[in-house]
Amino acid sequence: MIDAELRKTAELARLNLSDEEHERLRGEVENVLSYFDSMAAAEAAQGGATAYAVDDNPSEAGGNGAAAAQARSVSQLRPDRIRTESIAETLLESAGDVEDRFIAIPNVL
Amino acid sequence: MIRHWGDVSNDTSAREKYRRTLAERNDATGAFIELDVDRRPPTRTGGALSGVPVAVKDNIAVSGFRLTCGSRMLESYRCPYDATAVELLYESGAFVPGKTALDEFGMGSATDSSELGRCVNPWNREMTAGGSSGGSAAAVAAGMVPAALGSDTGGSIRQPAAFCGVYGLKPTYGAISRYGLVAYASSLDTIGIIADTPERLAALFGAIAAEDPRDQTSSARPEGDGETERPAGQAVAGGVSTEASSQTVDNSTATADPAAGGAQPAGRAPTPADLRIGILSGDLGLSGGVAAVYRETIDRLSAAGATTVEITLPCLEYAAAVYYTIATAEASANLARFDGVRYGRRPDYAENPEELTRLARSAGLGDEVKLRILLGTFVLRSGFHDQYYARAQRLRTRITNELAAVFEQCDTVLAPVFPTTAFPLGESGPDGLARKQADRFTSVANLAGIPALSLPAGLADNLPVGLQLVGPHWSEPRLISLAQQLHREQAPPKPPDFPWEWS
Repeated sequence: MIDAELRKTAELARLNLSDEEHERLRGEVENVLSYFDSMAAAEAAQGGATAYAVDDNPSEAGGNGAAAAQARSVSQLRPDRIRTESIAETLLESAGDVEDRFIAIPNVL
Repeated sequence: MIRHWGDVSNDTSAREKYRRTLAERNDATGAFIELDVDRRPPTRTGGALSGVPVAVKDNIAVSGFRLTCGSRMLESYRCPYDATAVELLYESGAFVPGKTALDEFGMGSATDSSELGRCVNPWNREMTAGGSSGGSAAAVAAGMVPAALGSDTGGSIRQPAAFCGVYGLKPTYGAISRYGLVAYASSLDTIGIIADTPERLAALFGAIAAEDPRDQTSSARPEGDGETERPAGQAVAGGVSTEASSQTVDNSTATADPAAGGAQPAGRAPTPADLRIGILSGDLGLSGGVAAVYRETIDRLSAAGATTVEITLPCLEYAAAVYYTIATAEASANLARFDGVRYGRRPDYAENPEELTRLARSAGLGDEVKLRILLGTFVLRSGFHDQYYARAQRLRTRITNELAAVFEQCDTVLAPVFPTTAFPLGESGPDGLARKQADRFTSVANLAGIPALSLPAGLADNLPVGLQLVGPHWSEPRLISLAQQLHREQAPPKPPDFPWEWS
């Protein structure tokens, strides 16, 4: 991976990397990415993508046969029910500094 | 004198003795990040786990304790709520004596990276306890608790359980609510159980496996399975004794699965003679000791009457690459929430909100976490997405299909957990990439969402060797039952330095 790509990626990930970190992580990122490249050889000739271990639409996701049947068997919709449940108060209590129902944070301007 | 685990909370003197044992053994192992027997004493008696201490990995919410995830980012975060699994443990009468050490945010194989607590293997303190649930496995192996909760995203329960010589269950995706588990890779994450015996695994699984409206991905056992509605707290060992639904395995064993809990058999549990066990053929890249124990265990199962079926899993070649592509991609999104505003560590000064977030993340997150966030951000980037993330998603489908086909040939697969026994801590251990590649045997179960149970199968060079039983969705009762029978035949040894005071 060239330096510019790693800088751009760190920028997107909102991480500041020191020069020392940049050097060290570049090696590791390159290592792992070249390992990821081994997936190319194993590229699926057929089938779609699985985004979730239990898929709501296995047929659309390209699964078929037993796998799709299995996925359907564990994928269920729950009935609509009215619930009232909130831990908002508890969460507010754990905030460092509260004004009314707002969490106060330092000025960042 | 060996007393029952429930006795540790009986009276002041029992508690005092337990407190002392825990403190001594924690000094020796580092299993717990936070330890306080008295903070959340048991509140309910009469449950299946009445008075029994259950440790909880420090990426799972237990109110009253911190929830650090082993990260400086959350070092001072005090948890205001209980995970659903923890609530259900309380309802069964269990109590939580403390939070166990882990790799930061569950990212690692050795419990050696967190600055908040490192953990060693009770069998040999020069060796890793494994990871990322290393503290939970070490706590059970060292006789500090009979069971612990951990989390398993790519092997993080099974690998430390194998390294420490205890039992570990990664359940079917969705079987145990993830509410209260700090997300690492949401489509792969599961809360699971580490325990001293298969019976204890069954008792805890019966107590905490339940559909939960607070986790949309949780689900009940499929209908017609007898366990669609389980009242909270109905925590009997037989709670998992209902039929394992195995849509793809429609043979005599599918009706012979009950009574995995063992305590109250509702029918005949499957014996090895009822089962076709899939055995991996070919060169698996195992160390000599692990390969020998794998062969011995196959022989033990054959001698018990099991039919062994040779199978191949070509996906083992690329499963770890698929796993790490997907896991890091999801991690980069999940960990974006640690922005220095909503949680945890915040710099004293920043010019603007963007800088505040950058400073907080750069100071609060450790090396391995940064590496994975960078990898995950990269594989999702426009221009690289198709080459990495989309390809991994397609291969994930192929892995799922490959396993479904395998479960048409056999009922359960016996597979290695890790290619070696526990490796040395420090420089002489395997490097980062080698550790990742070694997750090939465990990560397939997470990618396919199926259950897998790691069991202690023998010793090599005085270190435990673990093997895993892998089954189709919802086959936990069958896996537990088989583990029980192997356990009855030959109970695994305990680490010599930590004699058990309770059983």
